[in-house]
Order: sequence, then C-alpha cells, then structure tokens
Amino acid sequence: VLYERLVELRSELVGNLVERGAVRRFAEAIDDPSPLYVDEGAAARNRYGRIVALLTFPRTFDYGRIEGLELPPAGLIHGEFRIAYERPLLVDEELLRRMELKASYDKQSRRGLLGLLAFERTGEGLQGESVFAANDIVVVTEALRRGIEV
Amino acid sequence: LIEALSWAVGDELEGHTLPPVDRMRLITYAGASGGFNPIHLVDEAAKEAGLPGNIAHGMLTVATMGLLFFPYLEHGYVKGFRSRFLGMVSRRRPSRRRSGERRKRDRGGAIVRLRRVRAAGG
Repeated sequence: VLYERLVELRSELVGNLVERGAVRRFAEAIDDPSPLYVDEGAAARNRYGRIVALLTFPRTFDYGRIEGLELPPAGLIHGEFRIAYERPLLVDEELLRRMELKASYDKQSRRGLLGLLAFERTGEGLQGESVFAANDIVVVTEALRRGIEV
Repeated sequence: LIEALSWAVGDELEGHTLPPVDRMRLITYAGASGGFNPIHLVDEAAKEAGLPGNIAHGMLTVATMGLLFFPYLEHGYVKGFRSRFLGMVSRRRPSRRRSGERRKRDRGGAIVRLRRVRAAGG
C-alpha cells in the first residue's frame, strides 16, 4: 500500500490562535448569515459568550507536516470528510494541532487500483483536552500512484 | 430567551438554495481557506487536469452544507458532521438546493442525514 512506513506517524504539534478576522472572512466567503461568527453582541448571548468558528473552519489551520510524506501536488481526490467536536471553537483561543496518517489501503475499482489514505487532524486546548478531530479520506488514482515511491 | 427545539425523527430542515458557484466565490473561498489549488481558479489548470472547467473546492461544498444549521445555532452547535463526495461541483452548473432530514435522535442532539438535491435543469 502507499506510504506504508508512514502510517501512524504524526506531525509535531503546531500552536495557533483561532483568529477573529479569519473566522469573519470564512463566514463571508460562504455568505453565512449567522451573526454568531461576526457580531460580538449576538455572540455574547449564546451559551459560550463568545464568537465561535464555523463548522468546517478547522480545515483552514496548519497541522504541521508528517516527516517524509510528499503527496503529489495535483490530482488527488477528496473522498470523504468528517468532523467531531467536544465543544465549539472560540475566537482568540489557542489550540495545539497535529495530523496523523491513520491508515493506507488499496481498493480495486472500475477505474483501476485506488490508494486510499486516511488522515486525522486534531485540535486540543492548552490543557491537553481534545476539542475536535477531523478525518479525511484522500484518493490516489492509479495514474497518479505510478509517480509515487511507496 | 432560548426556546427549546422540538425536532422529531423524520422532520426535515428547511432547504437552502444557493446561487450558482461563480469565479468570485471560488477566489473568495480560496482566500478564506488557503486552498489555492489552481484547478479551482485557473482555466488552463482545469483544462490540463482534464476537467470541463474550474471545479469548486470540495470543502467549499461542505462548508455551504453547514448553512442548513444556521437558524438553530443559538440552541447549540453541530457536534458531528460527515460527508462523502459523490461528484464535482463545476463553476458552470446551475444552482443546487440542499435539504436535510433528521434521522435519529441521540442524547439530546440530532443526527442529520443530508441530501444534496440538484435544482431542476441541473
């Protein structure tokens, strides 16, 4: 399978703030009308008392890099995305993040032998508490895998 | 005051109609998300990749699915969300509508199974 020796390897922890301006720009980019992402007054009335980040906002974060993992720059297919939260993300909070190649497996399809890579991106608070986990399946087509050294 | 939601299994969330994906949307989303893969932004790059035109970021489609929940977010937050990509959204396609159907209740939350419905003529 692809990248077999990298399975279960993780990136180093990367720390960053959930930036208020970045949350606002993300909400504007998808025309999300909810004031909870932009309006401090409206956000103060929600149960968290602060502006929260959008559902898929964690995709914009840097998660560091897995040593030795060189994905092809083009042609990858995003197969699946899922995310689970312990609580919403709040603006101005600092999160520690990392990613891991959880699994790699092959699948025969009508279009040839596909390589499937399962990545997990996680965010935790400064006390080490888990805040979210996002899981992606990335599909490597047969044509693309010829160029990859496994 | 926050009113309690009274959802039952089988209820549908209100559908949400989106405007067609245009180039400005792709550029704005690229800037907001950091997703600058040229197949979303540059005609030649899409052509080289064998696509009929620029395609939308998969995660842009997922982000807009989240719009279904905006009327309810004062009551809580989306705890889990799962999506599979079944096809590409092209810049030339007409608008599409999304609707959700709640399937199952789970400890005070609700599992929402989302269906993507292409608008007539799409």
